[in-house]
Amino acid sequence: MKSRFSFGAVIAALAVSALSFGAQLGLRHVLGEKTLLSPDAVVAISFGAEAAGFLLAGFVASFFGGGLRSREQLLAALLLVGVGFGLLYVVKPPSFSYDRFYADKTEMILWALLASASAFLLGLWGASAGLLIGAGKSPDFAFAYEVGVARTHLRLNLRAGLMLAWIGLALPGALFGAGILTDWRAGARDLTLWHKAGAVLGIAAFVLLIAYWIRARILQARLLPGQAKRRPATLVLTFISIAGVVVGVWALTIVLSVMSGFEGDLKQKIIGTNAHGMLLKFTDDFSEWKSVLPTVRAVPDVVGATPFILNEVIIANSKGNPSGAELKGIDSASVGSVSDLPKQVIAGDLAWIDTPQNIPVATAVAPNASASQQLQGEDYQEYLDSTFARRRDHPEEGSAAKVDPATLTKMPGICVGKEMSHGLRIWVGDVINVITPMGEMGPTGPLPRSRAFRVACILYSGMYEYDSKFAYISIPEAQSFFRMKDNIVGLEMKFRDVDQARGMGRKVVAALKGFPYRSKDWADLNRNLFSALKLEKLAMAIILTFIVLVACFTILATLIMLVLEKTKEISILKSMGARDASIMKIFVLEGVTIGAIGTLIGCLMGLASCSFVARFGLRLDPDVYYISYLPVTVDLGQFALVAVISICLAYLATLYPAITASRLSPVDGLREE
Amino acid sequence: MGEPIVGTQPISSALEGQAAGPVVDALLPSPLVEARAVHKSYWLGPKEIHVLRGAAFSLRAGEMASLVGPSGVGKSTFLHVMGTLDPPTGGAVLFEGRDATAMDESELAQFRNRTIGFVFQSHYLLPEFTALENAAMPALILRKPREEALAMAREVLQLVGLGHRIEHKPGELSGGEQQRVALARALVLRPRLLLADEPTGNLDEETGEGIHQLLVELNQKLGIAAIVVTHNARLAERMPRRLRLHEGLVIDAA
Repeated sequence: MKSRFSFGAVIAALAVSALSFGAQLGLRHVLGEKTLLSPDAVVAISFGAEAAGFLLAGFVASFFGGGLRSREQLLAALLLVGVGFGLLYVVKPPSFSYDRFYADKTEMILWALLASASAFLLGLWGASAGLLIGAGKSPDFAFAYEVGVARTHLRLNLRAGLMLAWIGLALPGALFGAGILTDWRAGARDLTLWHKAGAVLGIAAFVLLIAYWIRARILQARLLPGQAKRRPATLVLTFISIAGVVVGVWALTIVLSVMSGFEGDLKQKIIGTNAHGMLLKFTDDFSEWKSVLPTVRAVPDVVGATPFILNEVIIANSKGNPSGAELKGIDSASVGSVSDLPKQVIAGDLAWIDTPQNIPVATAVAPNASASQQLQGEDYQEYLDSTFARRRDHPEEGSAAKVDPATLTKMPGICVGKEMSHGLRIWVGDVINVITPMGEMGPTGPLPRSRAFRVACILYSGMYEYDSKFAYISIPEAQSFFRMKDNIVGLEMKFRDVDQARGMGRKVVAALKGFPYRSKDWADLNRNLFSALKLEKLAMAIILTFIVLVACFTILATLIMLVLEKTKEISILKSMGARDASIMKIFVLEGVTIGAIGTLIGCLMGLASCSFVARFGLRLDPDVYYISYLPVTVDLGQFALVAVISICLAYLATLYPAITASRLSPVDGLREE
Repeated sequence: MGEPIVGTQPISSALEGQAAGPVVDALLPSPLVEARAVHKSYWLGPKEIHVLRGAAFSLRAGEMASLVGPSGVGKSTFLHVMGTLDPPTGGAVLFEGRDATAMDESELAQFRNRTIGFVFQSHYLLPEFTALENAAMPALILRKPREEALAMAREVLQLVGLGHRIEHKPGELSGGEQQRVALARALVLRPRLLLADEPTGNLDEETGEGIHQLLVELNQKLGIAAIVVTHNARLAERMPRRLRLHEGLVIDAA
């Protein structure tokens, strides 16, 4: 009974998909012009709506056409090129290359082709849902006995289920346990009884699993030839498919967690040094800052505010080696309310920039006790050897040795980053020259002006850029050095919620009655960095999704083998009145079950690995990464997304075998051999 | 779902072939099943094998017939075509006047589920299910609630004399018991027509005799029409109506 070509299905599919294509264009236009949604959100919403529409188009065509209707959908997709081009011609969308404002005809054709290709593929996907409920007059949503049959095909009885649960918990359990054990031995205090119990159980389950396996091998070896139970090839294939999905999901979740870890680490370091936002003025004159400060601090959800001055200078050590730097004037008393600067001190004291007379003259200041915690790794020892130890053992080499102690105590203090101290070979107490090119006017233009400072403290933020380029002095010192009178550049602010920084900045400006004040947030200041990270993460996710995709090909192969093995069973079920849709349901259920089991175990493995990496700590070369341990951040939303994608792919993989099985004629399996 | 299939569709399809079915007398009840000039051929590469060549035949409700013929003559094919498992290449198969070749996939499935029961030479039981579940399968396919389906299966297993071994899997049953379960499965929804393709072919003589006896009893007790393909001439003799398949035609041997 070959179904006849249905023009109704073509028209239905074309109508719905053209509507969704139009909806995408319209939504993108309206949302982009009329709302404050970010460009990413606009693209996601409009293309999401279009994709949903294409799925619906396929479903409609298959449901009312009573079949997959692939020919009809192909024709509809081809016709959509024409319709889509017409729509584009009317809407005149912006070009995707920046040098032309509107898309030209070639671009429109590309867009229309893209839309029709995705309409066809998504349409087939949607149509599969139509087939699954028995497209046609009597939809059938039940799948009770199909579950039973699918279960027997996969041999998923109670014993197999328990075995799977055991394997699925033992492998991640062992990883989790290993991580906890390292911490336990190191005497970490954040371990609860639950952690310890979980670790012991996980490792016990793993050891028992190995023991069970060895026992099974021994028992098998003792059997006489021919006594061994033979497993069907499809069962072995099923296990391989599950393992494939596990590996894919595992890799995807770990890599995404590590990428999130890097992103979070970077964000934390940037915010730790730079505050959440800045209050600036459109003019150079911010001399009223002392009266503005209480107003800013009074705005709800503003946690702290501190003045700052920022200018570019040259810093040179006693031998005259120069290094470009950003010299920042800070208020050492209030800077801690905004950034982590006081916590970044590894030697000396941040307060000494205000009280330089306290900087010791005769002895080399030992690094802080917490410095070895902050600066992990071999790099730390090398750094200390080249700076602190050398200064301690050879005080005569220090630049301060040649200066009269009375002059030394009068010099203002400066804090520098670890990399700068390393590069200039300076330690706490040493003298450096700060040079600004914009000094007094001379006969040939501005003459550089320089001033000697003594190093008050050394800071370590973990960001190479900050540690090599930033130097800090007190506000009054900066004002006098740059001849600013009582002026400052702006206020740095910290908010309760980092992610609300942009809105909070606007609130603060509003509290100050707007112009001439303006605000900038940390995301504005580091846009390039974070958008690059996001793109990298997306690219990694797409590449790694291919691993899951490959794993889904093994599901496909397994199901094809199963269909061949079960031809007789399919025939007998059909002779008893099972509908095509029911046969399809059986094999879709099998594939999705394989995918779901693999995904679940893979996610557990991913979680356990992240916990292991976080607790055990994988060493990185700090010279290369500027991070001494591999960072991981477990984002459950990300895990859920991976799971959904993996199960969707598994579903796609089932379609070909399931549809093939459902189309088998009942007599195919009934002929006596 | 569930209403009896009562066809009133006139058959306009050509009654081709030399052996047209008997003209239905309006006064007689219409036959339960009727084959009109059924042709069936297969292609083996370039060679066409013409198995059924205009076979015509009809069976009244409750009537029981045996079908004999040498191996390879097309008895199974004829049964498959009569059971709507295989569409004929020409002609029509009618159930109570309704043309089965015109039904779509879901109608056919429902029709097979409610109206026809099959028994094959091999039992084709699902190996991972118990005898009870196997017998309940058609009722489960009909989407009866599990408890109701199992109750129906229990009843019909009692009927075929297997009340005691219902929780065993097919692998734990003897050949005769397996065939009884298959018979119970075919009868669980009380079909109108039972099609049995050498149901005793794989059994020893004594067991086969028992199954045959059971078939005849069930036909008398439940009034289910049946066509039984068999090689055993002695068993065929006992049927009220005897058919022979010869050169693609069905011949009444009586």
